[in-house]
Amino acid sequence: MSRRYRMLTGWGRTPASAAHVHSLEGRDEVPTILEKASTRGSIARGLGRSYGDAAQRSGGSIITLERHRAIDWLTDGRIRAEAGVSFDELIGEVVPRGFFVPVTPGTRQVTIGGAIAADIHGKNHHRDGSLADHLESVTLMLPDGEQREVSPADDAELFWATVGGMGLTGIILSAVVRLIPIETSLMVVETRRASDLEALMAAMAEGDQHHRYSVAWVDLVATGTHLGRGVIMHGDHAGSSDVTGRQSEEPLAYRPPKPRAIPWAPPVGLVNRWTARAFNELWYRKSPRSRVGQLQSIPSFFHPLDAISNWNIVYGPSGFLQYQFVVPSDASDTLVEIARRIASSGFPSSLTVLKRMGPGNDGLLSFPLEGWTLAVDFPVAEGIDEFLDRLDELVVGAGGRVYLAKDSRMRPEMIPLMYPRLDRFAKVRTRVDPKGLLKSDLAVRLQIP
Amino acid sequence: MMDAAGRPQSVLVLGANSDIAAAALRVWAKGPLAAAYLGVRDPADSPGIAGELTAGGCEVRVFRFDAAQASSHLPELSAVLDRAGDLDVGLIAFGILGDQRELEEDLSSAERLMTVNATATIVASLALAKEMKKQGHGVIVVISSVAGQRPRRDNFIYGASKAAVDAHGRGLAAALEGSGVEVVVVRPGFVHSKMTEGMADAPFAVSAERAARAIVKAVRLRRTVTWVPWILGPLFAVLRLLPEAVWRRLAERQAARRATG
Repeated sequence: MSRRYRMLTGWGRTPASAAHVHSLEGRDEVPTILEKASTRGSIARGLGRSYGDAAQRSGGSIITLERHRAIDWLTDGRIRAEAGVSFDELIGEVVPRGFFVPVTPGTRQVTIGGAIAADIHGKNHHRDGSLADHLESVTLMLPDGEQREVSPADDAELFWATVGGMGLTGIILSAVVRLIPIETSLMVVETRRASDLEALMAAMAEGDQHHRYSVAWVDLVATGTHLGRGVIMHGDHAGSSDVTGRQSEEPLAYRPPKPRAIPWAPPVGLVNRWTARAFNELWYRKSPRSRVGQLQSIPSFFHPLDAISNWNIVYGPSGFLQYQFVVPSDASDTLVEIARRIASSGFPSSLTVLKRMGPGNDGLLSFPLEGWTLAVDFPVAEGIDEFLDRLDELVVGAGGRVYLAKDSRMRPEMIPLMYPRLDRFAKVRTRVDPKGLLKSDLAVRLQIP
Repeated sequence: MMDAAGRPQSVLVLGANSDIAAAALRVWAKGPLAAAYLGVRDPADSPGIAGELTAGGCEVRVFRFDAAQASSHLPELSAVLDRAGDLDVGLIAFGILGDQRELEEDLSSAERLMTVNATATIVASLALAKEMKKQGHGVIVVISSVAGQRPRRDNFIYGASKAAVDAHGRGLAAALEGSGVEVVVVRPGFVHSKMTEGMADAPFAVSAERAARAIVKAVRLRRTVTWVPWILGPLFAVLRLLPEAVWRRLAERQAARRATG
């Protein structure tokens, strides 16, 4: 068992805390590690892409599964992936064999374990739901050392507590995932500009009926008549007939570009009102008014930010946070109100993403629900805390919620209002972890029982 | 746990009757502050801020901590720390200013000043550091002073005590690197407060509220050294380089100007 005392932060690089990091070798080590850290608690950590403190436990133990990265092919396009497998590895494995992951987040740098714990969604949520909807089973190491394979049929309550459960029900060891078949590794993409938020939302809703994937980038710096202007991207997997020439010889070729790294961390944040405005203006102008039938690679359609491996450092030493919330479809006026407040707040949002979500699942702490989700990146600055507290109230008032995997600043009293199945989650926790051995800084901060 | 915006959920303050401490608590209370442990010389004289915090829904515990007898009150502090659970911020805010001429005459009051300002601050911060190291996070705030930067005829004993706090604070910050615990050393200039009541303003004087906001910001940024106001940083970078004779004349003239008000 290798163990190091290390400082850890989330992707937002906000408050670091120190913990003993164990790179798990044998599965049987889990109970010993948990017992040793019983006063502070332990939590599993993948690639550290949660924005806040979900994969931190100050003074306690962090379990990584970087040595648990096996992928086994099962019949009927299913695979069993160990928790430490990254989406980068998984996509690289399955695409050349004519399959794709059923759900992919905006980065390939997350592990299967982390993805299940956050019940991640992707650009196809309106059609395909979140990751949990494509899992046959999850193998879990319970805090007492018992290994369990749970599925919606076998211990449904534990299964639905585990997906989206932020790692608090056990150490996720592996999962059986149902893949989707693809004919080529390319995407057919349609891009359209919309001059304001209303037009953007209407175009998105319309396009979602015809396309598997959709996402919109929104300018929340521009105010007035330009408020919420944006660019909508719809996409589908290209069929073999869509591909011609050299690409048709190797339709499933998958060669992600090597990521580049920013060589040094800027001493001050580079994202401010002026740079954010310039960035948004540029992005809007460089996007085509309307373009159909463009072929794009999987990395450029799904994971454009992966081109730079450490883009999070541009926010400087204070770090940044991502505010992602969802409101039900009938509360689109709340979404517009929040967009208006963000645009006029003066807090710079360099990167804002809008997406329509389909119905949620039975996950007790899963984020998605049918409606609109908006994800906004903000540099941490004075006053951002109170500003977002006000937005939380609007979100709760509309029957929506904030995404735990992104959170780093919510008030604990918001949690039961946003996650009404919290008491059921608490019951599962009492059953599988009566001693409270699993704990994260996020769970402590938000008083998730 | 402290959140990404640097808002604590639990704080411990020693010297909770200080104006700067009360102002800082007021700022934190606007956030998710849930627990405050307030150490004061005389718990019967409960600090006004305690009532305000309780009214805001914060759980408050007032306990006895007399910095002049720090060594005999350390067990009580340890007991509070033991029971407190996670502590996001420990703010050491007590201190006495003294009158330089009196301190030179009455040696026991000079000793008391050094005990309160230097010794008690140092041992209390060590006690906090020990506890916070176990939890792997936390910020300790100690209050230094520009008076500790370069000795002046009219306040060098106070200055010496603050120089000790300053050196200790920065050294402790280095010692705690990698532990998750941070130390914030605040170097205010003249602050309008009970401590300086009736005194003439020095240049760049600030209110206790402004000093508190600087502390809150330094905690958020985990900045080891913070000048209040910030202009004192570059100013003292220059003043430190002056030849001693020039510095003495300058300090003397400044003292005379303030005496005549």
